[in-house]
Amino acid sequence: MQIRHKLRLATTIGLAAGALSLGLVVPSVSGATSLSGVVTIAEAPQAAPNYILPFTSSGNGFSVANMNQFQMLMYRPLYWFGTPGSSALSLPLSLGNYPTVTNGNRTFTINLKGWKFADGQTVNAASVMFFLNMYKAASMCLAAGKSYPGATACAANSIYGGYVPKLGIPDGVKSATGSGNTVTITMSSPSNPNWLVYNYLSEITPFPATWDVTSTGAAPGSGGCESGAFGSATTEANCEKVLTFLNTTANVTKDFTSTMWESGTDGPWSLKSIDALGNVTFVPNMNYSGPVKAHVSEVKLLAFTSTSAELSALRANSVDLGYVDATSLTAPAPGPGLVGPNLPVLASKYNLVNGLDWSFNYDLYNLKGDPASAALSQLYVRQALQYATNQPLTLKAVVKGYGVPTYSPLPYGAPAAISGPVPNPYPFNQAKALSLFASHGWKEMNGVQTCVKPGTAANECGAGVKKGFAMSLKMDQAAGSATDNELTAVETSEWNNIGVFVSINQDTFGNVLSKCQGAKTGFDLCDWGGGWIYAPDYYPSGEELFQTGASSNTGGYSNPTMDKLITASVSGNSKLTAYENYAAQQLPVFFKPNGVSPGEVIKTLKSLNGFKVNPLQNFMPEYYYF
Amino acid sequence: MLSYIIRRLVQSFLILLIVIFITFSLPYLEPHGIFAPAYLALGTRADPTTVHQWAVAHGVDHSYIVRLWDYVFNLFVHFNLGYSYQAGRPVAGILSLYVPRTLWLALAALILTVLIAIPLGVFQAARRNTTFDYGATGVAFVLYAMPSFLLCTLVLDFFGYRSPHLPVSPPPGVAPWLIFTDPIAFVMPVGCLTLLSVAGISRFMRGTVLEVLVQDYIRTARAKGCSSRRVLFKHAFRNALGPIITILGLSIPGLLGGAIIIEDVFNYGGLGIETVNAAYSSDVNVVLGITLLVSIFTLLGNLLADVMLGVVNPRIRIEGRT
Repeated sequence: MQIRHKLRLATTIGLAAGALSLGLVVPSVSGATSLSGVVTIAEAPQAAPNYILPFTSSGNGFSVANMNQFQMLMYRPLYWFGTPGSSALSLPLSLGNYPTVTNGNRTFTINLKGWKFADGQTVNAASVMFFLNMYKAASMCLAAGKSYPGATACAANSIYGGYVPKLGIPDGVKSATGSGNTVTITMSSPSNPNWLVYNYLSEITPFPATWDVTSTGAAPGSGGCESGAFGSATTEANCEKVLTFLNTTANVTKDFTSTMWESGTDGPWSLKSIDALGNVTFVPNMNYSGPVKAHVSEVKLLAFTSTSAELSALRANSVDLGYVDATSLTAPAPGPGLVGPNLPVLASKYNLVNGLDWSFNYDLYNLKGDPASAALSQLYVRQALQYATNQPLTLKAVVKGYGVPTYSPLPYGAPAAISGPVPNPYPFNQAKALSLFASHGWKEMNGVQTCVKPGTAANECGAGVKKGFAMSLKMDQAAGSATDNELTAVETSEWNNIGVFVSINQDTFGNVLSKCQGAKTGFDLCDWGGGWIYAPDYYPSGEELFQTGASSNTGGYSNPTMDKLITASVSGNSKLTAYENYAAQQLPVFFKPNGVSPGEVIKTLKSLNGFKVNPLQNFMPEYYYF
Repeated sequence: MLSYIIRRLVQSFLILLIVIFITFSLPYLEPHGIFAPAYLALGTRADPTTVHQWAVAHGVDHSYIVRLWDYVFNLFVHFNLGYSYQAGRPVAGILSLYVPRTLWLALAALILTVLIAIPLGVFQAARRNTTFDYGATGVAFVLYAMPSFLLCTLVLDFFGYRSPHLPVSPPPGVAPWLIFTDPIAFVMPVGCLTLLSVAGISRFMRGTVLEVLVQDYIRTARAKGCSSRRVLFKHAFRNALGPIITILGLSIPGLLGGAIIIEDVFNYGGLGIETVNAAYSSDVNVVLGITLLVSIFTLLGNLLADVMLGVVNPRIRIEGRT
């Protein structure tokens, strides 16, 4: 498994992009016939689902495979993002109506539509409060530093993977109450409605009372988590016990078809079978309340060991949907999001389609006090490195053009409703890069840019850069992702042309992350192989990445103007345009090409109707028909 | 013989302890290895406080000695191999899933290899320097030199995509006895694995039999009027078996981890693939568990080979006593 892919599986939901718009998408299926046929879908290699509770933590498989392509077929989130061909919020597919925002962007009132779980329970305010109470309890438990020997509950890996300390839901919630079909959430401070819906309300999956138990067969609701007051000590204690119990069975695949898990089904699909390797069979949920009901009688997800095995299955015509490695294609894509020629051996049976990540890719600058930090803190140095990189050419050389250049933290294809356009401030220009060094007191000595004019004047190296400091940098890189490693190799070879040399130290993903987040020195650049994926918090704002002191501001970047722009984007009503443009200009990280991951995005499709690339990688087979 | 086996078992146990010590210690050579599992489990968004809490909750922050003791104690007292933070389940569960699947696949190939390679080697030796011998030698050299992925690809291309069509992979499912319920689906993976082994073993068998055939006692047997068949099977074959038994004994650990390419190409999730993935993702407990298992198989394979040698050649047992 590639590191980039692994990173997604281990840490974030991998999302393919396209346009993420605020416009509503009304689902429609044309030409559908009666309930018939079996759709066979290849899972991404080494991406078998293994956790069923839609309260998935980083330590329990917080991944596309578990969430977007398994849990969400059965258990619908409060707000649904991503339909075939679109990543927009789809209110028709959501369990709740769009929230009413009052009290100066502080109070959010959500009315649920009253859909039904498979066992007849109504998806109501209590179902939402159950999730919120559990989330709050896990947060309180984590903050208190509690842990129980031998149990995972209340340990750090039990909290929902999208949790951001002190922000949004649950930490930013002042109060939350529910009655009937109405939930009212009051935030401690004004919150941008888009930010809250995209990042936090979208993460809520209403739970049935049958899950509010602490043992198998206990009476529904007996756990006391669903009915408790939000944030109270009693609710916390009850929810911890419920979560402990649910965690003990949520990764036992043979129990996934139990009555308890089945009772929480409110989506269009019901789980028929699953094995420990990740081979899954779904059948239509005949009690599904929402629109776009299933048209095929069965959906099979097959586990695969590798892209080559998937290619074999495609060649043997044994799957309807599968993946191919972009690097194995014979000719490049004509442009971002477009597809080039199909593999000849598959062309007669399958179409080739493509999607793009809802993410951006970068290498981290160490600005925390490393000997090179002073140089990397200089904007002109970061500009020179950016100028020296020809991203479109790199993508073409490494991944046959299946990817997009990155010029800002804004994902490719983001719509105007979120942010205005962000032009590339630093197009490829090695002469410009060289002149930036030369005009700031650097000289190539033995082929390496060396500071010869220390000082803070405009024509000097800048604050903290000592005389004789040479741009020979050290990069820690996660090994294993051939694509990312090659992209970096091209990037560093381009830097060689302007007198910047990088020695790469490869290590495992865990070790690289451990070093880059934990250490202040010993590395100048860091590449853990996947950049940042906006999921499950879809809003591409920067409060986790570039705000001073933010938990994921690993490089130690700090800029008061950036902080102000970020705060404005999450608490007011403004778009992200100002923040994104400022980040593009200031280069808090090195923006590098975002190549598709092998076996993740490029798909081939047999003569199956109703399929379009889902930008968020949700499996939505209810749209398919033969 | 019993005391010999007991002595060897004690030796094996000591070797096993050394293997555990070495493999357990290796991750500690990583400068950032202590908290790496925490980052692996919690991902890029984990802040240092969370990482520390995770480490405390999972005992990752304990000293080397404490962790080594815990591991050995849990292993030998509770038969607990630990927990996979990557897969989110106990290591024992992972091994119990993959070991039988790989074992049946590799065992089927090993049995076929023995059934094909040993007679082939014997007949080549008996008919050395004939057209049959040259032909078999040529094929063996080609197979021996061919990388497994190439052989698999060629087999897939010819038998999977062209006529006659064989299933390109075993059917989905975790049952280890799938190989018995749907043997046709296993023809290609087992066939590839067998072909890859037959070449080496048959060449080795041929060489060994040829060595035996020039011995004085073979000449004596022929001079006494023994038929060629009797000379070959009664005298030469039995004496040539010793080295082959050793080779087969040593190949037993390969039953578990030697089918990586086959598992990958034919989409048969097994221990080989799992080993690579675990190592790739720094899933230390899984790597430790698999290493331990392979070590046990290696030691048992050696022991079995030695015992079998004793059965085939009584002189070994006699010399062992003196």
